[in-house]
Amino acid sequence: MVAAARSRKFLPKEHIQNFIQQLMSYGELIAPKREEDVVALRSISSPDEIEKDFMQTSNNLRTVVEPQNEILLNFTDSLKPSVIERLPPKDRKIVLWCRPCDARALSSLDDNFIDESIPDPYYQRRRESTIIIGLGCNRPFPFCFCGSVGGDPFSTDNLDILTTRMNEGYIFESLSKNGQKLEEYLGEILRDGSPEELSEAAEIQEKANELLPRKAPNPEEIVADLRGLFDAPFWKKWGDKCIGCGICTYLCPTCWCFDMTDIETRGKGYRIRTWDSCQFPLFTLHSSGHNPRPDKASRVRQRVMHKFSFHPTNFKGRVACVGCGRCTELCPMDIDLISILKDIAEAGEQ
Amino acid sequence: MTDNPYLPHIATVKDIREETGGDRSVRTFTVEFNDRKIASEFKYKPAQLCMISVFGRGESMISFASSPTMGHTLQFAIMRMGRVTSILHYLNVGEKMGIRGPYGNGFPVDDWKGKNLVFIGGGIGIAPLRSAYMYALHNRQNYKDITLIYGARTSGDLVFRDELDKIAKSGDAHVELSIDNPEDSWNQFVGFVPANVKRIAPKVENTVAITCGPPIMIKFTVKELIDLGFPPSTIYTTLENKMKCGIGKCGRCNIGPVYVCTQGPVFSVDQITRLPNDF
Repeated sequence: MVAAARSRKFLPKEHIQNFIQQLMSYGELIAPKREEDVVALRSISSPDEIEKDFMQTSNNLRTVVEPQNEILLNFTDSLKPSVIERLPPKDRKIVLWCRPCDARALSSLDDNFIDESIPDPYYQRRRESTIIIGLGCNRPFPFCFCGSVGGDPFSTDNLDILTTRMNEGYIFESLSKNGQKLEEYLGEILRDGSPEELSEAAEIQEKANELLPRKAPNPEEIVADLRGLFDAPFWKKWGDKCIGCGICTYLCPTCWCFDMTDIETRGKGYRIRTWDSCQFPLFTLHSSGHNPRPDKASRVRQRVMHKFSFHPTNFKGRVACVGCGRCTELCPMDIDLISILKDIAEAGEQ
Repeated sequence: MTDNPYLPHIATVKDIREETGGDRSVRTFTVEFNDRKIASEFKYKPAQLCMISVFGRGESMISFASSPTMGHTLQFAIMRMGRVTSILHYLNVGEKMGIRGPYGNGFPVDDWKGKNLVFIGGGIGIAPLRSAYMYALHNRQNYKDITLIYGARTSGDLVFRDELDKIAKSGDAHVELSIDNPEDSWNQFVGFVPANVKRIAPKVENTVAITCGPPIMIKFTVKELIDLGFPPSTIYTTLENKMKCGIGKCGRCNIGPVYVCTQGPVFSVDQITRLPNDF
């Protein structure tokens, strides 16, 4: 999809180093960084740290807007307590080369954290101070299926800037006010894209869609089907396979569930928020010993139904899956989300 | 005031009443916010929930045992169960806790005006019921017959025993107590709560039944009520689930698409039958 009104510039290869330095002076830069076997979005302190050849970052934007651990509150003393809120700073952050699916995932996180009734101030501050520069996927990866869940390899949802990688540099398209401001700041590092470059980019984008390797059943049909499939036998099949490690939820860009716990050391107390997972039995265990989701089948069902039924029910039909494929690629037991969705689709037909 | 929904307000313990003993003892804490403005502006509905903090130990979601008609002090009847509630039991009068809330929907007490009310409680499940029956007793003229059916394992496990005796004597409500097994000095019903409900057989017409207690008790009480002819839309109960945030964000208290912390804890049996079997 190429909208005509977008401002489209070209970032030549020879300016990349300068571009990154400018970004680092504009705010805290978060970009793909190689760490042994994986490439992850990390805070960058030197342009050389950035990994330019990567497929998918192991982590995603959740780490930026909802960190894995954060301090929410401080307490001075447990006997005569005073409570101090620890809101994150409003300092600007720039995420460079986020994949479009990961940016789309923010819509689901936004649904949860900044709904109109009670916005979460920690999330909201981080979200509002983050500028996202996307990198379209010229060649989708083996587990991708963004096209089946409303996305595409060059989706612009939630992006401030979309870049398209070409042989001699990047097409640079500003998509928001923040994107335009950054474009102005970058000045002559960017030049206008030539008609040839722009049509080459359009071709790359079009081709990427055709290259998508996997297709999931239509999520709209699944949403309808799921309501009647709570007690379907296939949940047990997948539950038996699952080892409950929770990696599917820790790497999922649309997962947000968290725990809140207190720690106290030498009279100083902290209330911290940490990621949690619906795949763990303790997640829902009552103090009485009762557990509403006592087995792996019920926990796998919760994960899938939350994304494909409960979330769409509560948030205008939005499926909380962007088709990044991480849950399937990294599952140690090869539990394939698309196969689960196919089971649902099949059972729904019967 | 701040708009940070995770920020608890500090409250001081004004009174502690030992309700029951044993490993799972129950104490009723009467607390008051330190900040007078918060104390006077704090509004809640019967059986809404509060997140109670023991600073440095954590938070626990507790339902009100007091009625909003009882003034600026709040009451919570807390059973010693997990990490936070165990530590809570070590608090003394004058010590502090954190409170944020109120959360959830509470009982629709205004919709019940002009009706007979039958409260059916088991064990610590009496706490949210008390929040509502104290409200109804305070606004006695708005309701017709009020019946309190309450049971526990032993007479020593009956919470609010003295108060229930007083209510019985006042004649404002019909009080029916029970214990599971016979005891020497016990002259009221012996048996499980659902059996007592069956024996009493409250009249169905123009009546709302409200039940809370252990899940198994609720299940069989609801069955008895339906057998007596109560339509599911006239039976209310409260559901519980583990909660961390109280504002529908932490992702664990849902039953299907319904979040107990924001859309509950009070549901009619009619609503519950439409939920997936995941609680």
